[in-house]
Amino acid sequence: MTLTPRLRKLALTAHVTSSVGWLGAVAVFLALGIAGLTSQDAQMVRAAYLTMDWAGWFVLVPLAVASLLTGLVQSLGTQWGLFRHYWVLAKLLINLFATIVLLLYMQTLGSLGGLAADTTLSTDDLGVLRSPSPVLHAGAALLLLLVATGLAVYKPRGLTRFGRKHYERRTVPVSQP
Amino acid sequence: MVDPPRYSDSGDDPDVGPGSTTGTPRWAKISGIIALVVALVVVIMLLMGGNHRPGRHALSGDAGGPAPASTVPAHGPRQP
Repeated sequence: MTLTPRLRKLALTAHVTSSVGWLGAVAVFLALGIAGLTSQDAQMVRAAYLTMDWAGWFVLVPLAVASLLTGLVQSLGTQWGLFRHYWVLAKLLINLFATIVLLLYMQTLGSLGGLAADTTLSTDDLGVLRSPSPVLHAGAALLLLLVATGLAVYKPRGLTRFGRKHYERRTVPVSQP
Repeated sequence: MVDPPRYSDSGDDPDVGPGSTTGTPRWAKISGIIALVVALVVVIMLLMGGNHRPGRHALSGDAGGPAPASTVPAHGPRQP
């Protein structure tokens, strides 16, 4: 199925918005992770992990899923296809991997947020929250999403085996009887 | 250095011309190798670390924390 030009623009707008929004949200997560890891202010540490938990469910996860779904629509609804070009395939794998890791990691953010919300914990006990894990995960995610953005902009050439067969079939002249 | 050929900047349609249907491009091979090496390193780190799995980071005693998972208070938007 091929999208009409108007629908294609709409799908592209949705995909760019969700993907770049996801990238920006991850950058904010990196800043929060660094604040939670390094800040000497107990209130700041609690706030950082509580924000990450909430924003994870209400910003990161929706943007990641939206980016994945709009990317699928964008590729399947145009001549690019999903498995024909290496750059599209690479973006799909990056998106799938990042979304799955994010969904699994929300459990960790929930645990950290739960500890941050525990008002019985003393300031000294808050040391348990000082985990480098959010910084490492947000940093790796930022790197992956930057690569995906670069792929989308530069669109490096290269057809997969499936794509080569697809285009070869289209260019084979029909034999005349 | 000559830049490798790119698709049309418009992004509307793939411009698959002559020469586009040759084998796997170098950038894809190098990226694949890098991805495999990174995946291998991560798997080795996970196997060596032992307790890297979701929900364990804050509770694994990174800073001597005693809280087992069951004591973490239920909170927040875990079930949106």
